Amino acid sequence: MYKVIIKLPYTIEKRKDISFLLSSLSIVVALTVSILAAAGMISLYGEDVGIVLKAIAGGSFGSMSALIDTLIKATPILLTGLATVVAFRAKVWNIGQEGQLYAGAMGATFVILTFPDLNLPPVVHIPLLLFASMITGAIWGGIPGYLKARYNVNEIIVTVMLNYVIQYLCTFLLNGPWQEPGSYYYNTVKFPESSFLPLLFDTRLHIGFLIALITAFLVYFLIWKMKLGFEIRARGDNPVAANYKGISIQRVTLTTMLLSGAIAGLAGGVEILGIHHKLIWGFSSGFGFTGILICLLGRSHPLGVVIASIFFGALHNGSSAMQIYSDVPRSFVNLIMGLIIVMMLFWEAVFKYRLRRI
Amino acid sequence: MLSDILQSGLIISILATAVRMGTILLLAALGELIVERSGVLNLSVEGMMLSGAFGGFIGAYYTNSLWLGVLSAILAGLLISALFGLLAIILQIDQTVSGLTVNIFAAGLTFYLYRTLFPNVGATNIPALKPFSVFQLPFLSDIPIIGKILFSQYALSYLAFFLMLLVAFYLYRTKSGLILRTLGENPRVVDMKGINVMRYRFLAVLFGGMMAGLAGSFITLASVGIFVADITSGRGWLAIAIVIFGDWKPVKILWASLFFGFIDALQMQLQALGVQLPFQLFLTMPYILTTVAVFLARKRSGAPLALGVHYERE
Amino acid sequence: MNSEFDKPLLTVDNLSKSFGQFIANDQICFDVIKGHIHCLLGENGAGKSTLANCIYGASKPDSGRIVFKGQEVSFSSPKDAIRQGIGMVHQHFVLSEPMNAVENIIVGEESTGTFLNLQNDTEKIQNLCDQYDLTFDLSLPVSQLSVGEQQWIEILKALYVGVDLLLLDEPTAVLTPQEVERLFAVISKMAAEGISVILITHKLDEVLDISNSVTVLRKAKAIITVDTENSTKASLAKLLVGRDFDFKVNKVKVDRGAPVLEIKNLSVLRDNKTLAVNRVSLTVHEGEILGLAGVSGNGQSELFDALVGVRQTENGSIRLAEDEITNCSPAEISIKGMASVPQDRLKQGLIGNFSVKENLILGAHSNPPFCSRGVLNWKTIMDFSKEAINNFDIRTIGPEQKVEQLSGGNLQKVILAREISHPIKTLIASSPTRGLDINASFYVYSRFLEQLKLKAGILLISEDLDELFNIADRIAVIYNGSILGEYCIEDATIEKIGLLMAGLKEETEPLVQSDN
Repeated sequence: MYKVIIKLPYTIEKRKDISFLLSSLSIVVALTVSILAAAGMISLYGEDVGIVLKAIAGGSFGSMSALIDTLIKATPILLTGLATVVAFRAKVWNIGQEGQLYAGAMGATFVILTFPDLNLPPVVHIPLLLFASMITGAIWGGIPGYLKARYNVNEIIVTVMLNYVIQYLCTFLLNGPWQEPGSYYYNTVKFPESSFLPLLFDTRLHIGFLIALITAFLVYFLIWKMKLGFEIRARGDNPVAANYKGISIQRVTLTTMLLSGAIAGLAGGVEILGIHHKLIWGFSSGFGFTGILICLLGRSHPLGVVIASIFFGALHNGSSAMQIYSDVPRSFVNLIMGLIIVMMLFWEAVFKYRLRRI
Repeated sequence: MLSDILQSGLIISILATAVRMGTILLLAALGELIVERSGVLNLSVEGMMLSGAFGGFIGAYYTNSLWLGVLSAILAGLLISALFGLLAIILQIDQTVSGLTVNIFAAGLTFYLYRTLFPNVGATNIPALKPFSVFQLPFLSDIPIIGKILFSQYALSYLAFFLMLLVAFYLYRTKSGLILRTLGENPRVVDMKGINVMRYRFLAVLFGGMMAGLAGSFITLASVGIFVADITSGRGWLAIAIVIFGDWKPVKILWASLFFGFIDALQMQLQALGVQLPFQLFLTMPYILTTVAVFLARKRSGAPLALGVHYERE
Repeated sequence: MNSEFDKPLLTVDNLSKSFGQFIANDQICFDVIKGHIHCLLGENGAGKSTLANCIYGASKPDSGRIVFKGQEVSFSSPKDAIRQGIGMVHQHFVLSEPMNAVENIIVGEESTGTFLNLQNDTEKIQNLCDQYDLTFDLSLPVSQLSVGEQQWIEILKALYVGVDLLLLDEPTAVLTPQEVERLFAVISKMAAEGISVILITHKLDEVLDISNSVTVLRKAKAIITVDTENSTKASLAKLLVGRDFDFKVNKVKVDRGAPVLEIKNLSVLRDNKTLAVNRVSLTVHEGEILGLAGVSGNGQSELFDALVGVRQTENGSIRLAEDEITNCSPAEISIKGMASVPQDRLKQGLIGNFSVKENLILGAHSNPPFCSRGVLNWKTIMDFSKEAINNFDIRTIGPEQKVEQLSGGNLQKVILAREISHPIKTLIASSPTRGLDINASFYVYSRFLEQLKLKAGILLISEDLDELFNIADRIAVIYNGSILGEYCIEDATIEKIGLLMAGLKEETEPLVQSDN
């Protein structure tokens, strides 16, 4: 028996950290591979890849109105993405953005339906409603946060469970007390106009997008410039050492969940006040879950999240055009989203290994 | 008298449903048990189950054989778990992140494939197949009450009970089971004996995927006969909660599964009886009780010490 | 029994190993004879563990030969080494805590059959235990066994597969002097039965006590191999450090002042609600170091945690100078002038993924001048960091470097810079020099002594008796959560302390009582 041993002058090592450059490169490679894979699959449909890609690009950035649509689509997922950033930076695994988003939408709706005759000017009414959204979102995030902080109950399972609970609760309300009288569908009455989010530049783009951008900046400021952000990151990286140095892990955990829930709740409020002007069943097409994706794709960085959300907004928007111009179904986008995130994790991990000369 | 009989009939029916729903959860939970005992926190059970539900439906739909459907469900679970294994074990990406990612990927994939294979599905023309019928065990099913509850079940339920015994036997009575348990507590012990930690864990993950796939096929092939998006509706997460609630021990996991199955059954039966409460509130019951269950189980000590921690050689 | 003419069992010939730029072993040569106990003596960082890993197959030498039983061998994994008959007991035990000794020993062993036969295995292992006079409960989970018993399991693992050569890496570091004696008895017995033992240590007494021959390692090189009979403590010490060496730190006695830390009747629970610290009373004064000796796991870490505020106390009180700090939060305690150096630097002391500057303000990050109204003042933090890096000679690329990239000595300097850059009243340090080389250790000591001059008091929790005898003014001994006794350094001897560490209270009265 002979063993053939080939000695290469290199060894493979894993490095602890990955430079910003390599990390960016991994995103580029992941996107390229995903797009190539998508192109391959499109050609399986017997479609001309060029035409389909052009349709997607045209449908998302090709005209002013397409661009506006993309930004509108990006708004809720940008906010849920930011909610995820706050939580994941602390390694508090909030998977409940979807539920907190529902809670936020329901909070604003509750205020509107309970006080129908407020007759407030929009300048007061809208902040009030968005505030209500944030409060209810924070409550829905605060429950698992409190259970985690006080009793160390697994927050992943609780947030997932609460997603289901609030969605059924919402369906119940829309099928009962909140349903528009005489309506066959699950929705409330139309909200008063004073609650509509104002539009920007005479387009369909509502200020929700601006609010999301400001939130992104605030989250950035929080994470890197503020004491609370320092403590959030400390909890995420080494809760034991943080505890020894006087950071209350319980307080940070709860605060993180409240904050994350509030931002996700804001997403819900912005979406119904900006787009639907009533609470309507299925107003969220998985914005909460997409937020997790956006956060991972944006490397848990607010700027990355802004870019990723616009990218996904574009993909969503372009997919409608794709469906019109080809036989490729819209759901193709769901697949591609999943593919991109898998690819990104894959390549980032691969780039962690390097060859070293021995 | 009449009402008494009615009620006992109702109770039997609830309990029989409890066993049916419970064994779905049991299958997935047993798979997750093996995975977690090897030290890997697999949060993609939901995605694996969903893939199994889809794979089972498609397999059966195109081959006209329910058992080939089950086979393709197992295969689907296997493939998705291989993806999870690649990310979480081979590439050593954070296990929580890997699990969430795989869930998202599986949801996207199944939704896309379903829409591609059935492009014109509306509310009225959902493709369906004739699901498994119950398999009455000869003689045993004639035992009053117990026979109806335990021995008039689907073949997959019997299989689940059998697999529970098998898993328990494997963990505590075989050498390989000892290695697997040690992997979850301190993988270095095993590594120093020259056993490949990654390979072992990967195999455990594949087993978990096959079990989740099997559990998923149970939903589409034995319960409803159709597939819709998110048909697993959180049962994968329930399976993870059951492993916690069952303190990472096979027999306790059996009881926990049956308990959750019972909640599910109660919810279905009360709803069917038209109890005066909106059905959406019934639907929230399993989720609220799961939250309560993980709260109650917060001090369980059976968690493997190395759960969720990547193994790196020094 | 073994004549000198016996062929060597193991020959290490010109073995070299480096990690990148760093040379760990440089052309090492030595022989081990069958049935002999051979010591590898060297300071931390001299290359002992790397050498052991090469012999044991855990790492691959870059060049050189290893000849075992007359055959040149090249192991690709520890499994190969074990198969050939080389076993190793690591400094940190590799055991599965919830499982019992038998399961730990047989897991993954190659043997026929698919199924477990624990009864059969238990009998086999019990026989081995009888053979070496090891008495302990084989059915208890490892977590309930003492450290000494856990070490026996490691030895049994090797005996179970039948090794011819056993390496022990610093086996006495975690044992009481009495447990060391039992271990040495077992090792001697093994040698008598023809098993060769390589004992890796930095303690001269151990070499003289038990070994047949010794190879001294210094700065990656094997300086010399000598027969132990022909050696003295002084001659070995000189070889060890390469110069005449006095074991004493230059300590200038500082006048002892008022009490700065008063612990009265303190009781603390473990996580599992059992009593870890039992009515402990200790007082530390200005300008003195109180050493707390004890085998690890006797309540030291719970005491440390209670003092710095991360663990609730059950009973008793803690005063820091004029302030009552019992059950205060860690932040309050540290503001009142308590500094702490925890045992595990990267787990408890620092955040690996944070930069040097972030770690330097950890804890003080919410106070002015680093923070005002919830916003961090990065400019001030930067200035402070540069100064601290300078003052404490922290070898780093800069304040932005992540601390996980620093060496052990520099990690400790970051912690010290954070803890004692500002005036403090008391410093609590737990094993502050563990894993540090001699230079880094002396740097830590010098910083401690400097604090004494600044009127601080120090509570030094350590398992290293040499360290305590070097710099402490008084030594108290903790056993099973209680203070068994306390000696002034002038009255303390290794024997007295050792007995207390083993839980045996001596008849003669300690000169200083711990209570009033």
